[in-house]
Amino acid sequence: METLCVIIGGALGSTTRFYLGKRFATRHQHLPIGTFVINVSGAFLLGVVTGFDISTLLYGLFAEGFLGAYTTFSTFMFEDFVLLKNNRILSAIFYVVATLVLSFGAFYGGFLMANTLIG
Amino acid sequence: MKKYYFIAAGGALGALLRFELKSSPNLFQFSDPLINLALTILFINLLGCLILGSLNAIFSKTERISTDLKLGLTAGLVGAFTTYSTFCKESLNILDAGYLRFFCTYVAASIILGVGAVYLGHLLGHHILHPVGKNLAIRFSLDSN
Repeated sequence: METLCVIIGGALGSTTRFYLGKRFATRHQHLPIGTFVINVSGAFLLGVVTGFDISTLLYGLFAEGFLGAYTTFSTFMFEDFVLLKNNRILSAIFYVVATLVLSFGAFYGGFLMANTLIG
Repeated sequence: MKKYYFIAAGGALGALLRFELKSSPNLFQFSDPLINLALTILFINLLGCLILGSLNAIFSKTERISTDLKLGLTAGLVGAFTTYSTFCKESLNILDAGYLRFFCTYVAASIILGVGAVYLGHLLGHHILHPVGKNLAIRFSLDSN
């Protein structure tokens, strides 16, 4: 049953990422804003979900399934590789550092928020 | 619209594979389960980076594969197989447990090896997989004539 939740969450998460990624994609970009927004918001939401102590099935659906598939590590690294390959070294470093710092902060913020809400 | 079905199918399979790998207890056997889980996530993410690098290199050279299938494999399967949110959570769990040095090494290694795995996949796709695939295709079409 948990596996089914992960499968459904995975299908929804990956399509949501693709849809939002296309909407955020702007023409003259130096930074891949789409994946950046997706990964930081996904980290925030996983923080919230972790803070609320939810059941295994719901965790499978939202966390392992949806958020696991919504956020992506491979595209993040591929985009950074492309920046490096095009000699945008500073952009490549900035992209990684900004994603890491903001997503760790977002996860922690979401976690604290949910923890405060459930008292 | 059709591409969304391909991405959903790939995403479902990718998330399932990740979940199964993550749940398998025997992949790493250090004494602390936190470290085992973090290393499993790293393994999943690096494998995904290698595959995405190869696929994008092969796909950039061929017209024979439909865009829907390409997206299903890259944005769907590999995109959902690798994960950033769990990487964040497990990194912070490690930090919370007091492993400051392991945290720094883990995060740095994930990024450096991640870009490295994409590059390796890129080389593999351009110089080995694509030429081999092309040769096989030529031989196959000659055989069938």
